[in-house]
Amino acid sequence: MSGIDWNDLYRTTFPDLVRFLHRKVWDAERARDLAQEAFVRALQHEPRRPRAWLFQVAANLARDEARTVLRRKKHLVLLKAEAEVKGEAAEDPVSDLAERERWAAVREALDSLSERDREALLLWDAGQSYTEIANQLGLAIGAVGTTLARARKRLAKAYQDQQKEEEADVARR
Amino acid sequence: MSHVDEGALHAYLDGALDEYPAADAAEIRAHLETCGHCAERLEEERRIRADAHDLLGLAAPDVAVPDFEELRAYVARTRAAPGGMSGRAFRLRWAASIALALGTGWLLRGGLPGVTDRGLPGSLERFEAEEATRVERPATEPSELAEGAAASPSTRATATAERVLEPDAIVATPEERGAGAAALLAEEAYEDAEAPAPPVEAPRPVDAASRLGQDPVSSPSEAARRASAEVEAPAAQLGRQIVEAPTEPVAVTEGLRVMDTNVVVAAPVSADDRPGGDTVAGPARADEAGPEEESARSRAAAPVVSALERDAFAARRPVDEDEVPDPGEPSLVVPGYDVVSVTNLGQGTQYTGVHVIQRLPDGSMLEIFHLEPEAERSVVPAAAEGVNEVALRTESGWIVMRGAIPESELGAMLSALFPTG
Repeated sequence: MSGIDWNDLYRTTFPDLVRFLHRKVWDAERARDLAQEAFVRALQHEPRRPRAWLFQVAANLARDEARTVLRRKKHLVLLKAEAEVKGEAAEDPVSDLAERERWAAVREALDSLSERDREALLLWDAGQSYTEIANQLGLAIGAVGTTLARARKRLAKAYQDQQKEEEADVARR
Repeated sequence: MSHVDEGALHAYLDGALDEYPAADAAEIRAHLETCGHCAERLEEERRIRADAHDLLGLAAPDVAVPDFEELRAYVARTRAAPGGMSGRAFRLRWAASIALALGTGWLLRGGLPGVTDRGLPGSLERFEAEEATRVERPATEPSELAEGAAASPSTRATATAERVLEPDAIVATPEERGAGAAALLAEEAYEDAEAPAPPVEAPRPVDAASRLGQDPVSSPSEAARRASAEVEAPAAQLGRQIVEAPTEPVAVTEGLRVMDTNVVVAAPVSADDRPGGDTVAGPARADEAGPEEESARSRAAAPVVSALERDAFAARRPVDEDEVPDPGEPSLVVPGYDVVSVTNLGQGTQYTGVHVIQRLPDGSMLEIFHLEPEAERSVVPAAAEGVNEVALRTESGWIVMRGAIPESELGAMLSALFPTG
């Protein structure tokens, strides 16, 4: 297969891809499914630069996901109703309350970033190089650092503000 | 040199200076070794970087890496099966048929009511101006956006009117569907960001029309004749009831925003300036160098069906693997007209709907908002002066269509979104 060690690529990239996708779809199972989907496509097409390609496809899949999420919710409501009739509880993918709260806090902080800043940050955190981020977002290499600097600052600030607000809420009660 | 900027500090911390031009990298390193001020800033940025990293780490899921060999075997199976196609590919195939209709449908223009020389809706101009500041992707050069806006004639000022079509009253007859819809061909899907653009054989109108069991449109002039007949037909004759909408202005909800930044805009092309029209520009290639490989001419020659648009079309596919597409589901676009852009809209993190812009044969723009079931009609900003609007409430949410054309024409186009009535 075109000189690429797919096994190695899979081992090293799959977790990164799931992390990247998770912060877009906020559902660990779904993120894993989408990462697999991306790999299936990569194996079918054998792109020349598979790592960058995988992240591009993953970004597209996540966007697609945003588009269909409401529709899926409706399906889930129906499925849940059926399950309840059968006396089965629908399984919650994130059962740990503390974990869910943590995710929610990070998600809120991430949502406060601009689309591009967020994308750059998530790509970096998923192990993409400056060059790869620049290619994917259509930025100059020199602009990647600036984008990341801004994104990190805003993320940290948004999270701090959240915490302060929560503390103030607790104090008021 | 002057002090090192924040971006370079982060590149230094990220170990990415080697990706900079060598001379720049050397200069930055040398400066950081000698400048106390920048060394202090570097420590500050290091702290911020670590904070952000830790924060993201809070939201990292535990990932068990599935067995790669299973995945490989799965891919091998889907390859080996004659005509084998994954469920997703099957679903995308349906979506791609719509995308292909965009590339071929221009041949069949005239199936829908003709439009007269009108201008660009004001809201579109605003939209394009906003997008021009956002979009920096290689395939979407801001200059194209600017040209697109400049190429449009000025808006003719007429009173804005809004009409609401009764949901139950909208039934498209085969004639109303428009010959453009006949161009739906089942072709292999654009499956991903890399799939190269296949050249598409433009179907002859007569063949395409036969596929849907319609009377073949034997010639463009025949299509035009039908089109003009439809324009003249009052709404009642088309089987639709047009009802006056409330007269108060539509509220613009705060915070409606474009969710996708990489909107792809087709190069401005007039109907006359279209040499072949028999190719569809493929989705942006993720691993290729960029747009310079493609001449400006070829970009201008073909309607652009971008990865984003394809995704948006694909989103109309059913969720379940084995479910067949619901024929009652409205198409995102009016068949037969170029798609200028397809954009996801949202409020905050809430997905609100899709905003489609299509170019009509006269060069004016048609805007379509497909709102989610939960979204209020009022999230769509008020139409500009001189732009007419029709709206339809469906089970899957509001559809609002507007353009600087008569309402009867807008109504017919709205019908064309429902291929099977």
